[in-house]
Amino acid sequence: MDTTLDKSIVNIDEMVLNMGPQHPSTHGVLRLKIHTDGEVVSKIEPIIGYLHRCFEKHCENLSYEQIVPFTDRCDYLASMHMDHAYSIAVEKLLDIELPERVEYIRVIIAELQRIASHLVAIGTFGLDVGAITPFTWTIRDRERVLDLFEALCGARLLYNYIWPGGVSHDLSPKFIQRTQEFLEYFETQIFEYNELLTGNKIFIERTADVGVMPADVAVNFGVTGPSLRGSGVNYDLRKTQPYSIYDKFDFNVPVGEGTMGTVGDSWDRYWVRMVEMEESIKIIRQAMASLPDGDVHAAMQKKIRPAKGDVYSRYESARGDVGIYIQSNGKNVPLRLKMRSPAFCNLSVLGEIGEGWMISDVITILGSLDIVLGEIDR
Amino acid sequence: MSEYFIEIVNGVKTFLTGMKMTLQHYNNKEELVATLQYPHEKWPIPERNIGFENSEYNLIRSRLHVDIDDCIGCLQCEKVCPVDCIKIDTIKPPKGTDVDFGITSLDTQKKMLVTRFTIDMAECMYCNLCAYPCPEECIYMVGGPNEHKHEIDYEFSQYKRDGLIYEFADPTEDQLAEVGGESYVESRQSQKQKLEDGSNLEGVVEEEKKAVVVEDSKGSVKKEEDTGLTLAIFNDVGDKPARGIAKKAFQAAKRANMNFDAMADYVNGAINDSGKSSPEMTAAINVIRNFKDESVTINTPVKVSAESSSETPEFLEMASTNFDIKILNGIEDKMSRGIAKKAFTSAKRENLDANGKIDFIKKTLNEADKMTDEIDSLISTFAVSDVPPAVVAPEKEVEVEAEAELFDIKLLNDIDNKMARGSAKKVYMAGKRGNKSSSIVLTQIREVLNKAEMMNDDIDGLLKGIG
Repeated sequence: MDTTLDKSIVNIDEMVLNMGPQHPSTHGVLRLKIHTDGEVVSKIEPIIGYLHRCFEKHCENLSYEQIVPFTDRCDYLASMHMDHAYSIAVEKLLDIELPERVEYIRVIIAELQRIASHLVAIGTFGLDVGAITPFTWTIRDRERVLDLFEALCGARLLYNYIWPGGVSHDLSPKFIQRTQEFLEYFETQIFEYNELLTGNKIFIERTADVGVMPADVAVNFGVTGPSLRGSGVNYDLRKTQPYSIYDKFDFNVPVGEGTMGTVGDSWDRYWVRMVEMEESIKIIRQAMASLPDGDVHAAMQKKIRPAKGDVYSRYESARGDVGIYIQSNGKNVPLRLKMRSPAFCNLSVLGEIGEGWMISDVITILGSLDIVLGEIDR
Repeated sequence: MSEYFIEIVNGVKTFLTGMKMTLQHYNNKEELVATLQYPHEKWPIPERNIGFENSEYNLIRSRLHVDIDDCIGCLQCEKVCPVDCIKIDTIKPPKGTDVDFGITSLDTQKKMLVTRFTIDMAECMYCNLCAYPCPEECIYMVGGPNEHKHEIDYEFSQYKRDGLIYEFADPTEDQLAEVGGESYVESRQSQKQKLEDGSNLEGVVEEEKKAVVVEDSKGSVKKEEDTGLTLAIFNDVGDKPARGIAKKAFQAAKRANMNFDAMADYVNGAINDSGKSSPEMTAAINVIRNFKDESVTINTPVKVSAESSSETPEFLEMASTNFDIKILNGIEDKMSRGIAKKAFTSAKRENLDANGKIDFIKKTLNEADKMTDEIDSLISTFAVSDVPPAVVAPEKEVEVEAEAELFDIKLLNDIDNKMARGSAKKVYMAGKRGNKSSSIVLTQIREVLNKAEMMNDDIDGLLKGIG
């Protein structure tokens, strides 16, 4: 009897491996359907939706003030950014001018939040490739930022701090002082991370030249944020389309240069985040130096009731370009709210750049994209 | 080649740099290690005087609290809550009546009675939005700047979820009556009753089962399965210990497959023995006696005679809990337990009786050199308690024989009439469950078919052929 398999009928070379939804390396409830040929990945299908909470539909039943706690819960690692993005959109719709102090406070808070978010990204990226110590250290330092926020608005993760038209509490001199202390401390910490992780030979071997994302691929897939800049594209909304008062500050936009390998590899994406934290420190310092006085509640409206019309606003969050589209019909609830989620677009490129790598490299690539499932599924 | 070695050197060098950093942290535990021994030490909450001037805003988001005396019932907090975790009911006094509700601490005249102010903290998402619009500043998160109003609840954990539902308003009945809220008093009472019933999970269930039994006792409805009669019939009996005894006896009788008369007798006997008879109990027993059930009413004469004596069910019970494999779990040594269990199963396969099993296990253990006094006593105690079944044995054998005698159900397939075949098979299965012999089952089939007027010569011949 002929025992050989007819390969045209049965494909014995390919195996489908389900990674997730409960997988520690997927940064949330993400399921990756990986087609493997041996250990080499031939196709990746990200399957999402496990954390879907009907954010957009839910917003149609909430007044503009009530939406803020829910935007918090989209990107839970950078809640301030989501609040800020949403508030800017509503303010654009209302066409109101904000007090300068509010803008400065928002910038300080947003950059602190960027540091906190990047710390998690870097720590978990190290964790993904097997470095455990940096994770504990970054989480420890992120905790200091969260403490600052707790002192600021009473919450550590879901702040409800930036409101349309202002912020909920004013900054205090003590907060400024504590932030300055933190920045001084944090600068030494960045040096430690570099010693421990950035220059580590094993880390470089695992990340350099892995998951190279060419600039054209990144742009075509709509990748934004540090992941795009890692591919060498100098595109940061804070520079190209300055919102709030970012045009007043002097800072650089780090881009990937292929220091350890090719431009656009995982190491570059990691390095961009590392340098961005230093740039954030620069921005916070400048903003704190020129913080004007004023009433943070001056521009706040008792009841937000925008005129008919629609608005689209963009915001550079820790993960990329957040777009908020609001359609108003003149009532106190939006007719439609749509959010462009940066992590959603960033994840879409995984299938393209992850092909041909080994399974362990897929984890590296996924970690370097820094996704948050709360924002992807919304 | 040199590149290869340079890479190795680089690898070792960077590795050592990392280790050096880690070692520094190890040596500087006090300063650099951030671990907090949580239940023993608690994370500090931001101190109240953190430098904010507008201290009317709360800086700590802990549990929500309401100073209900200050609440004017404006419903602002209920409206603004994005997750609807605040529920407020108010009653306004009818026009013309003059009721004074007092004034709040901010000197506002209260105009209505807040009858209910519930906050479900399990639903709350700590956005603090409810605290801002309150005109009387009476709803706030505890602690922080509100520390003078209410002590902080650091972790307000609960064992049950409903412990997180906080009721703040609790108006007295006098207060309610004053504003004309009599109907509210009633609805509150009934709600309370419902909640209690729900937590006891008794009232509703009892009612349903009672209804079924009443229907049965009228004799109008005939049930085919003997599950129609349940323990619920004793629920009317007020005396708790008596109820317990009756239920126990009823269960034992049921297990022994008694008919209803015997069941009633047995329960009655048990009650009389304990001297706990009451009119209610008699009524319950009568319910059993009058209960009609076709499939069980006709019982084997052997069984009835054996069971009518009040001792039999007990020993039947004992027989049902005969030498079980679970008893061997008492052996502590793993090896000998395994051997004993193995021996038990193989003895069971060979259909040995309890004493045979024990002998077999003992023998196997002795062979394996694992016999100890402990195991010996453990097994032997059972052998002693198993001696009375010597009396049981014949009874058991009779049952087994009866079962063996029972003809094959396939023989009934020759009945042409579908209906008749169905009823015949039904009787057969009931007979098989009751371990009845062929002749009894056949007579039963005949009776049933005669009753249903489905008997004809073909079936008669067929049944005779089987007999």
